Amino acid sequence: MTAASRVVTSVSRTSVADQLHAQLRTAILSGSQAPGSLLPSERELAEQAGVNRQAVREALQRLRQAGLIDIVQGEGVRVGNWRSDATIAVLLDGVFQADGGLDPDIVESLLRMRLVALVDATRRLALSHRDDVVATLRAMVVEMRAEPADAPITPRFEFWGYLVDSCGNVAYRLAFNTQLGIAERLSSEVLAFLSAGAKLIDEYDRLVEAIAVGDVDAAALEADSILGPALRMFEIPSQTDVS
Amino acid sequence: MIISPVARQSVADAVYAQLRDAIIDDIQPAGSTLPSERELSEQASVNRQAIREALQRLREANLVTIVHGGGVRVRDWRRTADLALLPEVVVAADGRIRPEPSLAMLQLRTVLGVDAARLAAERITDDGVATLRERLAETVALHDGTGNPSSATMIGAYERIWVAIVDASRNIAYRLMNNSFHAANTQFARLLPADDTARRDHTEPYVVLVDAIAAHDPEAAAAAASEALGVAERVMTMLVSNPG
Repeated sequence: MTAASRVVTSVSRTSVADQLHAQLRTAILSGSQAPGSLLPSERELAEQAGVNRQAVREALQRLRQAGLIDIVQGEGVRVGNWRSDATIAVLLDGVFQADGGLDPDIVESLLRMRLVALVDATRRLALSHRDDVVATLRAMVVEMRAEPADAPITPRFEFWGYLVDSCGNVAYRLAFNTQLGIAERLSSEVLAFLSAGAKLIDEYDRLVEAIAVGDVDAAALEADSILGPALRMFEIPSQTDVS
Repeated sequence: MIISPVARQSVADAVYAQLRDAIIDDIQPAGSTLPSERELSEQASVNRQAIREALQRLREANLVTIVHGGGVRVRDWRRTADLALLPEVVVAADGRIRPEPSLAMLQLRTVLGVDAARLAAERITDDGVATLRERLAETVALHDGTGNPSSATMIGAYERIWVAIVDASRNIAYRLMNNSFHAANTQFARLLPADDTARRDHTEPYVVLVDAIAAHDPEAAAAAASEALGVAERVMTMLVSNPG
């Protein structure tokens, strides 16, 4: 077999389908397997990777489910155009580069989506006038204040998760879960880096008080102050800045 | 020949969709255990390999955990599933549209669309502007033409404008979310009356929107996007809440 036709390398026994899936996904997202191209056959992939065909089949099914490939009866496995066909699920994996680092463009786009969804959830909550929710959020801010100054920086998922649940929008909750799913796989150092703003406890306080009095714009502004700093670190300069 | 061969995969797909809907509709509530592979295979009259594949997909979608020893436990999908599941939460396999998740999705679409428009105004290139103007012209021509296009055709035209906007925003998360919204919008199109007389009004905010993006005016673009998506959100909210 020539080097050119080799798409994957041999993988260890443990979770072989997972590893094969990751290799193929990287090949597709990076463009080294171009949209419209055919993947090697199941048999060839099994040989290249040194795994059984069932593992290959499982890996291919997962790629199909994410919208990265089409399995065409009698023709083989065709690489799709992931930008137009894939679901957001591919970004959960695509955010990690082959060397384990983060793809800054994808991080920026996900942080932006996080900001926009959470700011809107905050607005909706400020409109809802729920005293029980305000009481719980206030208690969380009191706990933040009680933390020692050198307490580790965390994304404060408990606060935001509660806020999202309270606004009652299942789409926002699923967006939040997507964020949790990525965070689970980050080191605590990287997670702390992406949680710039976590120590802005005065802002958290003002956010809760704005919700308490139903001041929608003030609540949104505070949410933006807390969640914005992480995004700004990754932001693409606008056209005018470049020139 | 009246039927074509059924691929093994579509059997697994069908089993997956049935189980997924049972979980989303809380017929199989969080914490409950699914019937065994053997029982499922008998109930569905399919082989066990298809059942196994369907269960793997449920596991990957974070809808179930497969416990050591073979039991399959249903998870609390609202806590564990991610955005990839959203279109499937909005529309069931039998085409049924779930009202509450639909409204939730429309709200998310509005805020992301407004932000995409804002970003597009900051980042769009001259080529991007040309594409956007072309898509707008196509949509206006559909409206003003004599062809009497279906609601689905019109929705498709508006969606192509949005594809151009999210492309120009250079936010890949928005691009992929747009794919999810597309899947649901296709289903919503069925709810629209065949003759949508209010249609003409819908193009006006898009004309303003495209001009604002082309003029690199983020605030005007955001306001116009909010107007354009707000109209769609209100119409859909009404239709989804009172089907028929």
